[in-house]
Amino acid sequence: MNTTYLYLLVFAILVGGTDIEFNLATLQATIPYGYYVSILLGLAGLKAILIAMFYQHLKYEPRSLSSWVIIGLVIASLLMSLSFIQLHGH
Amino acid sequence: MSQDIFPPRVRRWLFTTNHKEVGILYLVTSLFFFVAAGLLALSMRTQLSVPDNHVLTETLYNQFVTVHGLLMIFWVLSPFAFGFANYVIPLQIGARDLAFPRLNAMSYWFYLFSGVAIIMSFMFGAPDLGWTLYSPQTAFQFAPAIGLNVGAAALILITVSITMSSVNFLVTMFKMRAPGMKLRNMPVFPWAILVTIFMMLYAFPSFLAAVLLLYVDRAFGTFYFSSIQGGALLWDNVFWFFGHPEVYIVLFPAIGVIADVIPTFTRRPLYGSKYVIGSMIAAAVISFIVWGHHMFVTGIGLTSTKLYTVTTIAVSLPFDVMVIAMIETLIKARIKLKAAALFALGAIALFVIGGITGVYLASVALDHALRGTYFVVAHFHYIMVGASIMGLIAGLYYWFPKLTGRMYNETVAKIHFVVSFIGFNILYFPMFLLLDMPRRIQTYAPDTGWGPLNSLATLGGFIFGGAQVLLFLNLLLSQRRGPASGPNPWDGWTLEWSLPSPVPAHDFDTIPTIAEDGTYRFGNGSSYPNGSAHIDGSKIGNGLAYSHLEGMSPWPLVMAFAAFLFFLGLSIGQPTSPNPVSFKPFWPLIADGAILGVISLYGYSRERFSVHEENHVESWPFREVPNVKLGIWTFLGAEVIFFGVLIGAYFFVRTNSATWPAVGELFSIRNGFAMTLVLLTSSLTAIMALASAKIGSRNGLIAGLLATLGLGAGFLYIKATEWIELGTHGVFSVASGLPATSYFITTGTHGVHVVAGMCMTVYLLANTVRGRYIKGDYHAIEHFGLYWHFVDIVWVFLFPLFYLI
Repeated sequence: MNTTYLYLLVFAILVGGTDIEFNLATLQATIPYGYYVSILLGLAGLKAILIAMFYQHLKYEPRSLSSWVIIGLVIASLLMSLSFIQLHGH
Repeated sequence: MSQDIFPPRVRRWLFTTNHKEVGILYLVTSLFFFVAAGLLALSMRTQLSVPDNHVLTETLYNQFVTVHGLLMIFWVLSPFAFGFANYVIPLQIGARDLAFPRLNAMSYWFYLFSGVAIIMSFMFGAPDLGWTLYSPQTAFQFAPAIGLNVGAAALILITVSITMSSVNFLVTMFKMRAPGMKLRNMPVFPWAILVTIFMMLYAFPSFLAAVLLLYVDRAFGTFYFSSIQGGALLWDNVFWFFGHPEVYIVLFPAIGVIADVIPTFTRRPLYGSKYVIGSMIAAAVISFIVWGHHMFVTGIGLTSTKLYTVTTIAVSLPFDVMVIAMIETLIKARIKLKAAALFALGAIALFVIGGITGVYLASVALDHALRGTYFVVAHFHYIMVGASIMGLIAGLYYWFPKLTGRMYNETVAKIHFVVSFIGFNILYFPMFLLLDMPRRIQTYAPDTGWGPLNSLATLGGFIFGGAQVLLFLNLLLSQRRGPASGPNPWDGWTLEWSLPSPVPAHDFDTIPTIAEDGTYRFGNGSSYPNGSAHIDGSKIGNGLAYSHLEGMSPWPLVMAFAAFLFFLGLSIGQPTSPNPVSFKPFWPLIADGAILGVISLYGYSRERFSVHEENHVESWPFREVPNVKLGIWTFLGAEVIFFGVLIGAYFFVRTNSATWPAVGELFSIRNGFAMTLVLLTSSLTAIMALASAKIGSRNGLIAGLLATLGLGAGFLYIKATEWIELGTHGVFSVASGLPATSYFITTGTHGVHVVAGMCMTVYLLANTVRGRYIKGDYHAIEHFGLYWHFVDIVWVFLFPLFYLI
């Protein structure tokens, strides 16, 4: 696919995702809060992945670099999760 | 800027970017801070030597305790180690310099000026609440002296320095190793530094975020640490998340030095060196999940307590492997007991004592009894001074001939070791017996019975401190009058010993190659016992003149000075109201710093300074990734942690708060939606700019960059409008509660990143108009994009967090 079209397609998905987030806010009262937060953060995560893969070109970088970034993110996420376990205990 | 206003000798040290000279600057400066922190310690010991003593007032004593701790941890231990790392690591891995020499010089100058700031804090009432800066004592109402603001500014500056340095070393070690220098063949010292850098990259951004939040609490009256919902527990978490890895950050380089010194003086390779490296990696990973053992008495819950007990005991196991490997290396070895070897052996012995006493503190029951006592003080000084400082002094004696080309006086050095070792134990061992004496007390009553042991400790302190005079005299005199050392006085096996002493400016005449088995043989015949490998300097000779090695740049110094002025101005203003906190910064200094910063950025970017990237070097696993790109991705990794802590702090205070504004109550969802669309569109224009540059379309590139700039400005305009609107209601100022605190600080920090990105865009636009970036040299556009898209990603998360949930 032509890269310009690809970038535009990614942009359209990002805007669409943002639109879903926006409209979800109006339905907040009808969705259990835990699900609501999870869906929103999940959508944000998907948008972030799209930006990283296609706009930051991580999809086309050598596997060592993408692994480098992914491993870093996984470790950071694990550490943050631990903080929340601790908070929960508190 | 004209560099000719300084004599050549001065100019050399002010403007150097050569890794060896920067290394020497680090070493000398860290030793200066070592003396300063040591004098503070001796003053404290004098105060505690007898009961009911009042040589120091309570405030002064507390200030000395705090600044002593901060200086030793941030301005002595790591910089001392990174002095060696700067000088030695490019030599040991066969590189000509660090990947980014000017960035390296800038790291040093940020370090120096941050140290000046922490010492200057005494002029404004230095921090006086311990190096841990526990909340809520740091709140303005409990610590009104602005010296703490200056201290916080110093910590921000040194954290910036460390982050720059980490990125630089990481790229160098992954991308610039000599042909044949596989990762598995690297000596242990570079490995120790590599593992240290990984820890730094995860730990220091967390600390930077913590200090930033502390700073805004004090300067703008926010509530992160003075509220019940955030407060002490939030600080404890973010501080110790950094604080415990920091122990290993200051320890591992010393272990690396010892692992280089012992094989040299036993004439045996390090026993199980791969296991030692594996243990370091394991300890580094586990070090990030032990921070809760500093919080056993804070009510963190049974599950967490169990978890941290297990992880804390687990982290001691890799260190057992390291110590056993060292001891195994020594068994039946014919040890040459030179001063470097003596200090290395002494460090191991003291490390064992410090380590074992640390395991006691992993027990919740014992921790309840021992925490906050002199037992803990003894334990961590056995690690920090006994293992780290002693290990680094071993390195000082070991590499002194390489640094200066001269030998020191061995007899004086041995006396230095004996007196230091005895003095150290007289100083710290009695503290293990002061089980019931609280730390950080200025004096005590005679009937406590603590007097004799304190007197003994003070005696030991003066013996240990006095011994260091021998070190300085010996090295100062020897570097002028000592006998010539020759290139390899110890018959060392690592690459730096193949070069003349002191090492010439260009390091290697030709980049060496290292044979497959990774062992070396030098001209004088020394080799690893089992080795048959060789260094072949004749294979790669490209005849290039490495001009940057002679290249000097004034801009790292100027830029660091500008940052120093800027942060000092932010710190030394006048409090105008204690409740709510209101603070008027010293604008003239801020303006001076900002103007100088802009000038230096311009000068830095316009300066012709080329860094040659060698071909055919070992760069696994990043062979196809250019140095700058790897550096930017690594920097972005640090940024992830930084924003992660800011967002974590938001979650922390929010989940602890009973009430929070409902969706749409304060923040307009439409505003958030609009800002998200604007930033997403700016990402599209940024990537289209890159696509235009790649196909050589100058107009397309200019249009893309202009659109990105305009959209960035649009984002800021909407944000500013929102801020003003919220502020004019009067109920939602930055200090009106935790929702406002977290909103303004998190989105404000993101806004600063947007502004930084826009500055880059202006610079790129100016260069594009001059005709750059369209003839295949589009990498600057790509690198800018990596940053800009990251800023976009951060907002992608901030939008739902602040506007939708």
